[in-house]
Amino acid sequence: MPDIEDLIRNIDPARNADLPTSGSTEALRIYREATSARARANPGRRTNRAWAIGGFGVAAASAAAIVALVAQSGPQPRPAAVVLTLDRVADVAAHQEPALALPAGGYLYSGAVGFELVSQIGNGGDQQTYSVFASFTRQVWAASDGSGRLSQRYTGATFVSLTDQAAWSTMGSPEAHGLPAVLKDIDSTEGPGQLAPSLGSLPTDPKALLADIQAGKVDAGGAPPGDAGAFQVIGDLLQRANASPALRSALYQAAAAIPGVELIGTAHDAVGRTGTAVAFSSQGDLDELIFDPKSSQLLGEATVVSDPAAYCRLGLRAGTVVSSTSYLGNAIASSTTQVPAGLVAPTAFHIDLPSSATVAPTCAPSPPTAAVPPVSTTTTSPAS
Amino acid sequence: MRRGAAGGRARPTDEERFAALYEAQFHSIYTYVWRRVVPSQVADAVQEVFAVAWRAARDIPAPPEDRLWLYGVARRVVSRSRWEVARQGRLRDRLARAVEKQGAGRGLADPAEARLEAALARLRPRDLEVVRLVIWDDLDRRDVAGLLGCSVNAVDIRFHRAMKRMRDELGPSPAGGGGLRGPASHLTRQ
Repeated sequence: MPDIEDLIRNIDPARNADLPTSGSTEALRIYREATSARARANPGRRTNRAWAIGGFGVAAASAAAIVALVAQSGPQPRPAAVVLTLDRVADVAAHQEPALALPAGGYLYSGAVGFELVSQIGNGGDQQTYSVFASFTRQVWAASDGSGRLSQRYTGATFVSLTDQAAWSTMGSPEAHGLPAVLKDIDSTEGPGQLAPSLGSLPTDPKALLADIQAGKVDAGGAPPGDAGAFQVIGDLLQRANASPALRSALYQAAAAIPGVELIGTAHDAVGRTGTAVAFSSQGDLDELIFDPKSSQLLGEATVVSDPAAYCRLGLRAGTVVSSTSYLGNAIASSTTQVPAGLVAPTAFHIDLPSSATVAPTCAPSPPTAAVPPVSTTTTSPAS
Repeated sequence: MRRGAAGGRARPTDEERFAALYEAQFHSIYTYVWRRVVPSQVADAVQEVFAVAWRAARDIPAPPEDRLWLYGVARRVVSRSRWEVARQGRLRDRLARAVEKQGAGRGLADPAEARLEAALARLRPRDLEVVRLVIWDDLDRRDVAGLLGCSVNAVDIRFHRAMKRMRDELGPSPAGGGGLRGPASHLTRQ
């Protein structure tokens, strides 16, 4: 016997109506319209009123683009949060100042600071290997053809574990410049195409751009083909100040179209700046892009352990940050030795390294672990 | 150390909280509005709800209170606007929908359903709203009370009164069965 409530439920007109869900194109359209209304309601939030008003046409075009991306990704709707977040920052990127023009004979200088995991590979198997977390400064001067100078200096290190320190000791405690000898500074002159891809020929249609990147047509430091490589290439391209607003906008939208890209949320880069992170998981790593949603600036990148099995020899747990890079901005330099005025040299930043106290191998039968004091070599202080 | 991205999570920004709420509640809010607004105005009204929420993003309370907060916004938008259907739940709304959807609706062929709708439409407006929020929007009594600005007790009274009136009006089951007596499950659940 039907209950009156059930009868009433049955005549709910919405029950048989095909109403849009949050991942639908209608939902994305309404999201864009609703959030664009903020500019209308609060023009004072933007310093340039014409900017805000002029933005709507472009915003609408961008919405159409993202809807197309969502529609072409097949029956599985993309998680709306990551699409919406990247759509927003793509819109911001489209309205940034025009790209830096690289004059003939000039170089695009970029500075970065961070830390990474570096391992010594032994000669006979891996008996003698050791691994360290090493902080670095990196400076690149790239001419328009991708040639120029790369300078990377290590500034500090900690052993990943006591096992690593013991292995290093067994090898005779090799040092170079006060750091474990595995850390070799780089200062090299590179030929065309080695330091930066050519940006001018890249399409600014997100779909076409992603297709080119996935096909390996955009070389950016030997990234692997496929989605994981595409995500890395997008990060490489986003931090370049000579990428046009249209290209940077397309890059964020292309990132949104990569299957499996997820929203991490609020995050900090290596120097502690706050941004929003999106990530792509591949081979035990979670690669994160951290950007400022207000400026669209790419603050940095980080790699986080997502599958501890991939790092079992080092005993790293899921969530451990194994590398993190902060981009400190770029500007035009007249030579490969000049740090453009107004940019802070990467040596001005101090990078705190992970402690080695809590890690132990997890793939072999693990030895009993006592509390291990952090092992840290002194930080060199290169002149800035 | 300063952790990288996965190390230290700061509080979500207003925008992130808004996006999460949007993702979680878009369909519910759309449906809520769709039931209460003439069809051609639904999209505009939903957009207005989220535009208001967006402008007030910093006031969005933490989950699970954010849901009720958003329904409150939707209720204000629907009730103060030109979009509100004058006599909610009336037959002509469904007629309008049937026409607008080019016969996609179920039509009005079932006389039992028509009786039921007519009986619903004769409820006091505030009682009807309680019935709709409880049965159609699937809100619990506490949320309904919060939304309507009355006590949980008042919600219970209205709901019971409405159910009693429905049973009295309909008598034998319009679905062709016996009587309509049955527990008001929503009211005894908690």
